[in-house]
Amino acid sequence: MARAALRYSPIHPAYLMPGGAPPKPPAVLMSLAFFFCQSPYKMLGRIKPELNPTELEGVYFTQGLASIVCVNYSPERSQELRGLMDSPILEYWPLSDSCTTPTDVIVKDNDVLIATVPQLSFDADAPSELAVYVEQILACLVVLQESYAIYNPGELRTLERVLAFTKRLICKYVEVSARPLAMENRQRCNQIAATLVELSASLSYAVTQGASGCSPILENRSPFPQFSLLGIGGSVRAITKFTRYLESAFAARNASEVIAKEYSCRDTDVPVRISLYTSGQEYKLRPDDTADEEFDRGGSFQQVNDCPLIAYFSLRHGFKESKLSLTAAAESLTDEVSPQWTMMTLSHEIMHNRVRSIFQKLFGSSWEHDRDSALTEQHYLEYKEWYESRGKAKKFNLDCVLRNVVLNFCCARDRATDVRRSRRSSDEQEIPGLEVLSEIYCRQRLHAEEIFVHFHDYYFSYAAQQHMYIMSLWASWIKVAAPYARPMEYLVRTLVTVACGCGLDPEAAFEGAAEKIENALTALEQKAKVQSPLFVTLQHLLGENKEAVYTLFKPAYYLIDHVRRFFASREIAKRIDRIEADPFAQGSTAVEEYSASVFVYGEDDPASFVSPIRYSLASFLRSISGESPIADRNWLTAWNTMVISSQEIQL
Amino acid sequence: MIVPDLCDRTYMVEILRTRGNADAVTEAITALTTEHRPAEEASGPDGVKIQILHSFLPSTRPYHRATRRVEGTGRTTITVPRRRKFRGKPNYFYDVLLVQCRRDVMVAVPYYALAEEFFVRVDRALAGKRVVYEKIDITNLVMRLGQTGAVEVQSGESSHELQIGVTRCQLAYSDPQGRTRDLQRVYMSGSRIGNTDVYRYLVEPVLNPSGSPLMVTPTLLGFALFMDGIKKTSAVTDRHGNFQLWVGPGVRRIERLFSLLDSVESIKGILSTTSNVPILQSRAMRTAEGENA
Repeated sequence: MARAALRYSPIHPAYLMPGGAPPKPPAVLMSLAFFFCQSPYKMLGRIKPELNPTELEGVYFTQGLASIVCVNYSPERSQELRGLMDSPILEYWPLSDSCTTPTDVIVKDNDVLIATVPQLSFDADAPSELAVYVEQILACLVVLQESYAIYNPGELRTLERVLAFTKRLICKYVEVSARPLAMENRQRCNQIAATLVELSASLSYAVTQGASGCSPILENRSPFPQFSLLGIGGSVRAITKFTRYLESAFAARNASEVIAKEYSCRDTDVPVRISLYTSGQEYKLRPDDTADEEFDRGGSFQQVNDCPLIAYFSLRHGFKESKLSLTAAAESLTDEVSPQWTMMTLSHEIMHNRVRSIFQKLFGSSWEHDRDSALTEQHYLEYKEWYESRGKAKKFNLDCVLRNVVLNFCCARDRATDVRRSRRSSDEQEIPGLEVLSEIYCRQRLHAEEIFVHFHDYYFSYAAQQHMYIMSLWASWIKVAAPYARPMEYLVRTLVTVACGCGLDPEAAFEGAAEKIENALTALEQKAKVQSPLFVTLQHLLGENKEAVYTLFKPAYYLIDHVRRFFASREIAKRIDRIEADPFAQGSTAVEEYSASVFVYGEDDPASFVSPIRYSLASFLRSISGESPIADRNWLTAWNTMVISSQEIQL
Repeated sequence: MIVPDLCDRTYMVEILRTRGNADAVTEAITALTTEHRPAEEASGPDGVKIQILHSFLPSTRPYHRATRRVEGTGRTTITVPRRRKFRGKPNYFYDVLLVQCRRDVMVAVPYYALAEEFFVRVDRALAGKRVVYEKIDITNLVMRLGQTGAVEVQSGESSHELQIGVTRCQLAYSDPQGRTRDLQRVYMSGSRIGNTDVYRYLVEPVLNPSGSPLMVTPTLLGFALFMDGIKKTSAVTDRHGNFQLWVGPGVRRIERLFSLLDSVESIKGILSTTSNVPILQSRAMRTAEGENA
């Protein structure tokens, strides 16, 4: 007879004493009661007054769907607690000599809940070449639906949206493939098929990671060896909630819609010549007139029926974003409190998604818009006219202006990085032709996107906390290769991000930002004891190579000031901060004020809501400041994910 | 009459409510203390019995900055906090006041740092006794108190006019639009700050959030109970259930805190409970104490 393979998962004591050692594991194991709570953080707060000292020491939390485990509780007491905890399922393992047999396991589930799972219907006819993907997608959706109905009901709506999106893709495919056989049509069909492949793959991950570890535990092995018993369903729920939180905030104002329906009808003029750019009052983060931000003006542009990002962990991809999915580094499962694996990195990836939609709208480069060149003839002519008018003769629509600002940045950056140091000829000072401009745009587009992303992350996620932002960036960047290879590029990004919204002329803004970076790096080295040779390089760049850095800084400052002016949104920022509902916020977005504690549990108050962003940021600050209340990184990681996974977030 | 050694300073207080046996709660807490003085009784709101217990917490760690000499019983002079050997080691003895009224129990100790340590021990000692902590939704209370910072409350069978008024207020500012930190906190204190224009101006964004670009959140609130215009007791509280009050000789003020809470409870949606130990989330109180020290 084959011997059962070893399966295990970490469990962590839930009730710690400040300054005290964690409770010792029980010497004798008599039983394990697994509670599949959707909000373990709140449930720990709810059951705490009911537990005597011995019982308190027997409560553990996990990163699996069986989110709370009670050790050595009687079946009756477990059942009593199940009622208190609203746990849809209780799995009770009586142990003899610390061993259990599957036949002894008692499973108490909520039959009513499981029987009322609504059925997903799919009535679109998929072309045969897509059938394999459609089948995979549907199979995943059915499995996820059953799982989510019990363990993560908030995500059922996501499945509906994924299904609707799949149908839209298939309809589009049928429509395009019916057109004459041309290169561009074939290309679009392939893009649609690729999107379906991505969707199918993401859903498969969601199934293997999010649905494993469900009850009966012994029959649902997790693919992660170090979580093979209980899985990582809780952690997947946490990154999903983190993602939904930002998505729901951004859904308040759909950037594509604002650009298409509001900015396309609003005239404006902005400085054209980067060399003469001086910023000014209208670019300040807080204009004196306290008027609404440009982005918040106009009608309601709520985002509806988009396809939410499917979040999962990946050792191979690490933190990465694509059109339909988002991966968190698998290292975050055990070491989320390290700067390089913090959940805050997810916010940066989510911002990429937001920025992608902005660029798609500005440049019409989604698979719905077919053309060969990166820029259209119209884009080119508008840019040429705008550039040559020097912003005086005529006003342009804001969407056109924003596109031109990006192109302007691309051209300026391209010139700044040109290895030929000679003065440009008068021909070169003119706008290049469409083909050359397209090439320049393709070369510099990623830099432009990164600046958009940095602004969004800095303004929305970090609430424009400069010191914190710089520390966070560089504490994590010293762990990855790219900043070592291109320190100047990363330095410029940081400089412009902290300089944006100051309204000062570029030189003064540069000086101010450079000083802030030097201060933050010193704090990292001296207070947080984070050391890296990269910091020496940065200091060198800001000292002896200041002029070269400034050359790159100026166009980037021009771009980010415009991103600030036209994409900052109080409406969205308020939804991300949620300080009125967050029990730890203390009325402030300042991370130093945040009062979360590992000795504090969730409140039953339905109005109470812990902002995943603020919570992660505060945890991150404590970590890099060496102020974590306990030294066990696994415990802290599991705790952070449990807190975030317990928040109720509706998309 | 109970005269705590450190009656001339403010005490940190937490208010517990049990769904179990209140006497068992009191017993569990007194088991953590020593030198129990004879219990005293007083009459609380609507004539209900209040039991007051005074005892001491021995500590090898000093929580005070300086000792003082005060007049003790029998015209003797003593040094407070008292210091003597306990279990073979020199210890400081700090007052612990325990006041029980119906199913509510108040625990009060001097010094914030002492409360930080002792209240956590109390919480662990009360495990399984179905104890939760009372807290006040101070944003809601400020809104109910309105621009005048005062509201009349039910006085039960009493013919007196009872009013709750604001004596302290700390407001935190957030700027969701500009993301600036130009203004972070404002702290006001006085005997009745609701009577001032400054208070009216400052709480306006709390009462009418849409009218201000800044988000203003009350993080500390001092409120007093006025009977026929005379201040009877007052306390400062935060959003988490930490209370701070001046005890005074005879501890009448702590007894009257029950009346104050009864009055607050009569305003709907203000009083709630939590299973979290309030002192573990007392950043605003600690900061205020530090700034006002």
